[in-house]
Amino acid sequence: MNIRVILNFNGIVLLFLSCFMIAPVIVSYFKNTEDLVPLVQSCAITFGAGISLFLFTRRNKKEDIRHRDAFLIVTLTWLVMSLFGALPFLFTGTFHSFTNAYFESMSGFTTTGASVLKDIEKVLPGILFWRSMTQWIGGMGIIVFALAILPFLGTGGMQLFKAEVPEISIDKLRPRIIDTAKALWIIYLSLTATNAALLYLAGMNVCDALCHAFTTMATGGFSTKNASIGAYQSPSIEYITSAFMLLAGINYSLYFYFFKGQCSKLWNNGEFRFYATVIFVATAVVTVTIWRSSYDSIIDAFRLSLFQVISIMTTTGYATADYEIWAPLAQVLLIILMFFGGMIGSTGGGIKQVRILLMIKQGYREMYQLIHPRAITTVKLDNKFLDKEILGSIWGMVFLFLGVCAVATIGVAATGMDIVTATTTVISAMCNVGPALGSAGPAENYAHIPDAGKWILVFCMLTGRLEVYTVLILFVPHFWKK
Amino acid sequence: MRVIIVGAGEVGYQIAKFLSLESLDVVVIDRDRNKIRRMAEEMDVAVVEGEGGAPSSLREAEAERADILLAVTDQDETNMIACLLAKAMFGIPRKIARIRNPEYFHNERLLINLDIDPAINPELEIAHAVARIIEAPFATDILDFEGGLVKVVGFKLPETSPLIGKTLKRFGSSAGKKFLIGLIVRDGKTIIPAGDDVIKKGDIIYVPVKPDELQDTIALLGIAMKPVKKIMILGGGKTGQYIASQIEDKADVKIIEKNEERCKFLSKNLRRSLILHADGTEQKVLMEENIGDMDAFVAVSNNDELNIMVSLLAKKLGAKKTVALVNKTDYIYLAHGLGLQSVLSPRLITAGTILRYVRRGDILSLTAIADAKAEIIEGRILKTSPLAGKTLEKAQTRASIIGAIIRGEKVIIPSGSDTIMDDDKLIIFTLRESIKEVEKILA
Repeated sequence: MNIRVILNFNGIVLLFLSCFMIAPVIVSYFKNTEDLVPLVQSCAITFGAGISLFLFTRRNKKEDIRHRDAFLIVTLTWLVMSLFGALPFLFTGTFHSFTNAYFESMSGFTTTGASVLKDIEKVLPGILFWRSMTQWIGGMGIIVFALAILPFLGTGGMQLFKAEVPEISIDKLRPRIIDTAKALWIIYLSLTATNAALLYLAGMNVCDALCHAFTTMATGGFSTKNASIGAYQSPSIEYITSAFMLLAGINYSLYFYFFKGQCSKLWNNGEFRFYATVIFVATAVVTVTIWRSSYDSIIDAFRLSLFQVISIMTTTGYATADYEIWAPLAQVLLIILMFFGGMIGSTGGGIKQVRILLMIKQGYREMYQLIHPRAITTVKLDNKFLDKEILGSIWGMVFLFLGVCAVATIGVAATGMDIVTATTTVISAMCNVGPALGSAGPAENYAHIPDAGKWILVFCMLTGRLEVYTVLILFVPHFWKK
Repeated sequence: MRVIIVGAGEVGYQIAKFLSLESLDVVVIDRDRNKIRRMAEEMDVAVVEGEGGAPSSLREAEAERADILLAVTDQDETNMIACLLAKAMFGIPRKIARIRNPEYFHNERLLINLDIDPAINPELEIAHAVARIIEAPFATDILDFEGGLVKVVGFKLPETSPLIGKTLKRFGSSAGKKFLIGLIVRDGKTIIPAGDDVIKKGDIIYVPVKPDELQDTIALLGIAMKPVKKIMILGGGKTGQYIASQIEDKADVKIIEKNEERCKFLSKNLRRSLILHADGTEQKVLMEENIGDMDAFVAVSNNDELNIMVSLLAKKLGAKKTVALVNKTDYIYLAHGLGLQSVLSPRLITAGTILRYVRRGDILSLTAIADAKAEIIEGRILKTSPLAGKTLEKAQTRASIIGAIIRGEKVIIPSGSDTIMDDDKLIIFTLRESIKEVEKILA
């Protein structure tokens, strides 16, 4: 364990974070609101902490980041980043309790979108801008960002990349990690810009359009309105947002091929077909369920179903309807969809589509094998054979994911929450969705949950964002042995 | 620049590791999933699982965008097919293959038609390396440039050398001769020397020399030079055969080989060497053949352990110089630790030779020295280069030294007042981290 290297890297990340913090300062300056000074203070403190960490731990000799260090670096980076990201909330007095500020910050960076704000519209614009930006930073991952800019990380950088963006197969877009990271950020940036432009054309003001584009592309779900996207009462904004949430849940390497003119890679991608099918079927079922029972017009029912299904499944968490008043079938379906999440290599959370797909294939294979005991079968995806090791690691990940959910649910219930709230808030936090059911539904917030419960959820959000292994490995005693 | 490496064995591994550190786009193709995965874990390269000689794997590696293909599997046929595909289907400009079968390797027409440039034969490379060491037993390292027009020789200075304790400037003027040090290795650190640096005891220095001035230079440095006259080679395989045929005219060679058929073959194909049909593991045989009296003992059997053990024995019995061939990279450090001076690894040497040809811009070759901490760059000066027309005094930077200028057939070991002209070839010493700078001034 090389403490020096770990702290040094955290210093670099904080320097980047402080650069990002300049954006809300500019917003606040032009809007001329009183959050300017606290924002400048947070920016300066983050910069100061970053530069001193970086300088004090600098060493001429280049040390490589080892495989094992990467897990600790990444987890620690996210914890530290959330800590400094919480400063603006504390300094402006948006929150008086540290727990609330940290919860909001972590919920932002992990693109969860669960909020402890009771009245969002009262919060100053600079802070709202920062709140949306945390999600945008966390969506692609600040480490991927650092990799895109810093050439010197080399192989160590690759270890970090893999700890922050776990992939089933090693599917680098470009041979070198720095080019891959750059390509990812360019795709991310251009999609965000397009989204913001369309939202602006559909009637949002510049600031809101940017904030919503940030949180849409990150599949985050923070809004600047209490009623989320529903506040705009505009079908065109809803359809634009639905479309971009859908795009945000797609594997970024597919965009890479798409822009290179290899469209066939998109249609031939098994995971993409699965993703599209799930959205289609779920939307159809929810539409039929809520038509007549909740809405008279089938067009309204379809629009709201589509939005809710995409928003929940891609783990964004915007709302245009209070689905707690919908029929139970629709509610249960939405909760199940949270687990599906986005595609692998997207900004979405959850277990990820491809893992669900492979588990279904594997389950089918096991049954087939019982019928034909002598049959030799393999699990294939896109005509590629997957060996047992990969399938095993998927089962392991899913088991740990559900295991953490179970333990955390017990924990949250112990703080006095009812069954529905405890279960769904944990699932929502683990899958980085945002709204849940019970007393933390789309029309409510997380403010009333006791502090202990909030910290459990903070843990869940981070564990879910880093796909379980990276965080849980730190709890294995062998990890710390020399 | 995009480089495709076919084969993830030891050679491919070393090359990929080196090139990925140089920030090139490297794609490695191999059919062995475990090897591929290990490489993807350890270095910043892309990997493709598949047959190296299959169009589909080359397509997946986006071969059409590649600048160089290095085919380094241990199968000649696969390597040649990969090069053929690279030429016919993807138009890759430069193709380098590892080819060991002499029937292919010496078949110029085949290689030209396949457009393989150059082909590398590991056994031959080893033989060259051994021959160079034997020709200059006082050197720790000796490299040829421009087909031998210039040699760069690494010396460990003896304690009695007149150079020790003097600054380079003083020594240069007192010797009254053009003499230049390109690099100093001191306690594992590499230094690009300036005029006021002092040479210390235990330094290893790298000096560019013309072949005919080599004797004078070593005399100047106070190094005793005794020519190698008696050599014993253990193992009469391809490597042993190549070594013997290269040096049998200059020295007495004894080859020990235990396979009788092979011995007969050797006696037909070698002219002067003495071929002994015996088992090299038997100490009695070695003693009878006066192993202790040898100027050099070269162990090149295909058994690593045997090579190391017998070299140790030869050294103990009094052989003046030992060279051991070791395939397993892990053994190299071990063998050094046991006190063997020259330990050669065919794979590392092959990787090193191939790397020399992975050129960029007007760099003709790149050679790593001193544990790859420093490089010797062979580069051509174009009219557009900022160096053209300048004197060395003005062109020299702190990070590099111009060790030799090759103008047509003439070699100049330069001093500050020499001028660089366009179309000159330069031999430049530089540290690893300054390669980029040198690339810039050459362009």
